[in-house]
Amino acid sequence: MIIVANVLIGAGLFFLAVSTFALLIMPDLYTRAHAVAKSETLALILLFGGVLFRPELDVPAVGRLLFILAVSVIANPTAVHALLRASHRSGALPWTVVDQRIADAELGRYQP
Amino acid sequence: MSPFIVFALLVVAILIAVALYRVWAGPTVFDRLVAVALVSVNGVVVIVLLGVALERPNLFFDIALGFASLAFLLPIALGRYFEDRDDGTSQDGHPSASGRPQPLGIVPHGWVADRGRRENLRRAERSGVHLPAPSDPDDPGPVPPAEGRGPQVPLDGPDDGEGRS
Amino acid sequence: MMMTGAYPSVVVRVTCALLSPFIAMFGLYVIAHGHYGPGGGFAGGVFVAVGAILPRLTLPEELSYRIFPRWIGPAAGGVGLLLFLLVGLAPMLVGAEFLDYGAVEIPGMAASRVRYLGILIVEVGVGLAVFGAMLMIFDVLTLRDDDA
Repeated sequence: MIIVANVLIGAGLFFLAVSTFALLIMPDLYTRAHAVAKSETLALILLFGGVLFRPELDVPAVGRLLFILAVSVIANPTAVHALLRASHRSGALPWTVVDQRIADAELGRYQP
Repeated sequence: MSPFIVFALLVVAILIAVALYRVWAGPTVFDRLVAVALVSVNGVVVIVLLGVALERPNLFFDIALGFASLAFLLPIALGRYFEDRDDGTSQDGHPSASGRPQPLGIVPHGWVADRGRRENLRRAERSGVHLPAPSDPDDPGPVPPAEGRGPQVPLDGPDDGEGRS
Repeated sequence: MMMTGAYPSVVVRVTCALLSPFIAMFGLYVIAHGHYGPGGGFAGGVFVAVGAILPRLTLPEELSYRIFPRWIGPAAGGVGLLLFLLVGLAPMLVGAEFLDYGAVEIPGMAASRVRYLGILIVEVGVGLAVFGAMLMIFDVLTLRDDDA
């Protein structure tokens, strides 16, 4: 039981670390927010699912934790969605790696 | 108090400190807000783990639930606030509206961006396009397509724009 | 600046309509449970106010102002303050200190029971006052010229 709990908590910590370091090294806003919305939610599910198996919890605590899990899993991606929608509406462009002129040349319709 | 939970608490605390760098350094206000969303989720995790570590889960889970629901209000309200500000400036003063010049603040940096730039140069050499030399450190990078700069049409679907009174 | 009215994203609208009653009910739980758990009247009032502010931020105005009308902010604030003052002043009528409920003698009830009820009523009063104040702050901040 406690082995399962600790393995799940460890996996959740791994995904938390992934999303936090992605927030540091990703090049632009959209990729950062991608890390926060998806990897963070997966980390929450794993970590709270691990805490559910801890022997310190009794039945009311399990109910409360399930409620926290439901609220967080719904609210966290929605919050990031609202922020990203606002940023897209106010004009933040996604970073493009490939220059448009190169793409045109590779497609054979490049005029210098 | 199990040592594994204490270790997990330490890890999450360090992650909060790391994410606060993005709150401090994020070039636009939206970078800061996304980082704040991550920090608040990490705060919920810290409170839950504290409840397990101190063996008073009922007390701490109530606090965590309140914190999670209050942290949900911030991105909604601020997203609403900045979404309606369509005058081309963010709170930092960087120009950042659609169709206007590339914002000053969001020049991508870091090794992912550097790898992308090297890939760009390699493909330029292969396809014979002469690119201007990236001597300027503030070089905004590749030029986006002229007709594709920003949303020209409203982003709302046909059933989704009626609500703004 | 339009801070009230329907949010232009359907995802946010649906999620806030789903979550705000639960947040408000959690606030009622915090108010009623303040003896044993964290919180009390102040925090619970803030949660109920969040449950009222989220519909104002995201739902259409005719809907959100039907759930919690504009007059409910001043009314709840006034009623809460009045409740707190009345229950707080009641022990002074029998010669005890302010908020010393145990001194009030109600026939058929032990002093501890009276104190318990007094604390509960005062918590409800504080919660109502905080809820009304939060809602009034939001309404004043988002007031437009045409509905002044």
